[in-house]
Amino acid sequence: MQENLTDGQIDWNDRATMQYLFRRFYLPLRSFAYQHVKDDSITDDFVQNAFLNLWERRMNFNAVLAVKSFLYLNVRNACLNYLKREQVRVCHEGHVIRMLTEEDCADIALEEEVNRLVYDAVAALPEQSRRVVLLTMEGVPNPEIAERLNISMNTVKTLKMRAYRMLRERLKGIQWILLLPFFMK
Amino acid sequence: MENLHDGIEILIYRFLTGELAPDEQVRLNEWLLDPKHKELFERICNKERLLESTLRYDQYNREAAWRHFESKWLYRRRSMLFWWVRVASFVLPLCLAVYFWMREERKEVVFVEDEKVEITPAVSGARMLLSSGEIVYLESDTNDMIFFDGGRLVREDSGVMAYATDSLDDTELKYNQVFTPRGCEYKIRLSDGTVVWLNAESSLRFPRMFVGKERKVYAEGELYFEVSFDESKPFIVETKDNLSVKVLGTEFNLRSYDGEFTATTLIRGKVRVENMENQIVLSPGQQAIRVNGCDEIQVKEVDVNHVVAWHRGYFFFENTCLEEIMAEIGRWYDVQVFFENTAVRNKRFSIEMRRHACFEDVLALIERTGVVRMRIQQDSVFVK
Repeated sequence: MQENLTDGQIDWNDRATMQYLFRRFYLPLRSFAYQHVKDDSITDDFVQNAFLNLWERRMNFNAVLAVKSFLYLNVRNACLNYLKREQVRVCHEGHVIRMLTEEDCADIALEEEVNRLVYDAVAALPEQSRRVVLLTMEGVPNPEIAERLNISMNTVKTLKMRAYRMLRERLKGIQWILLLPFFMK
Repeated sequence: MENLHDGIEILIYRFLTGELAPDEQVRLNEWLLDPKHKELFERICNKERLLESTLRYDQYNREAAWRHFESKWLYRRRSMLFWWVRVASFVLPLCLAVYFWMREERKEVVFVEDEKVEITPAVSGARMLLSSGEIVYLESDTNDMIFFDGGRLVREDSGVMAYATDSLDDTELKYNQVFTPRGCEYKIRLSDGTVVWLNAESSLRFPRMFVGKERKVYAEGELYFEVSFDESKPFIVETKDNLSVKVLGTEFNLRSYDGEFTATTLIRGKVRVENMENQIVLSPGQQAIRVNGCDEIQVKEVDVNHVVAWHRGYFFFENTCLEEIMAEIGRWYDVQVFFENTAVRNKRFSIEMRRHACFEDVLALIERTGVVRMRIQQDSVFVK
């Protein structure tokens, strides 16, 4: 999953390439922006603009690693600019503008990249199973899951078992961390 | 941000999934030798954090975002003509951001710790000078009822102190004066029902009873009036610089601090602002400004929410110079402000915040812009 695109082969006018890059980096970048600006309503713009900026400077990139570093830096600067532009506007008490150091940013970027890998493993499950898994992770009990997804209790159990099996194959060691406590109930 | 720990994410992921190959294990162990990395590693592998972010990721709609992006992207592909303009518009903020970032890095914040005096936002409190010459201290929230020679103040449910006089048969005007020192505010209801909010360092001279054909009071500083309706007795506010505001029943804000413009802002109803030379009738949302030492009165439309923010518990400055901001903050927190660097007096800021914020937080916010530095020493602030 890491590097389907090899160095020197990025075709910038190819829709599939752009879509791949977008899907690959959108979620971690969005979450990364959220770490700076605790307001999810504006972070989408930052990330989209970063991709537009990327495309406009496309000739300067030919490695995925350079793209990644560019995108994170771009989103970070957008966040900083936003905080600057807003200057000292504080609407609610307790709303604290966080200024993160460069080192913090690199750390958060790494964390988001790991999160992305984990999330993609869960997201790759069939839609219904994924919903069940996510609700389970949220701690929603079976009867409520059945009600929310409008399916029977037995279906919930079956979907869980199936998802569990698939995740066990895909995640091997991770299920002890992520899922076991919930599925053992 | 050169080093993004490239390639480490896949090692950590494989560690989580139990797929780590021996040579990868070696690389990961090497990376973990740095105690900072070890700490980061433990944070990333934390179950709760992983869960939380998985759920957050799931809330973001990647496909909708892609569709949105795609349409914008296609549009740009078609209009490549002015690409260089966009490059400039991208490079410029980037440079600026980096520039400000570097400045921020270099900046040291110096808070002098010695002899610390606690600086608190204004409290409710005032003094009242009675017609008899006696001074009554109206301290914050101590009493629900204060008696003094010739009258009393009673706390209403809303927190307003209502003034009542003992003598029902005043034949001449006998004045009391209520004034708020720096660091205090006060709300009072006069004998005719009018409610007046006094901002810090303000005063209001009013008669014990409104005798005669009009209700006349004298104001200084910043006050918010909610005048009770009485057609037969117009309410008149006079300022030190001979401006008078004549009203029937209405709400308005009057600001007349020494050395500043006198500004009357109408919220509701109708008022007439006049001095020797001019007469102007304001409608809601308008502000009449009288420049000090000049008889002209200017009228402009304003956002009343900004003007009366103070009486709702907020500071609101829009593109206001630092000198004015600090004067206002100084009044509210009862601190003296000194500009060591006069060049920053005219720097402009926009600020919106609660008036009951901690003083250090307020300064830290302004400092965060990187334009100025502040130093607190006892009850003084030095701006550099």
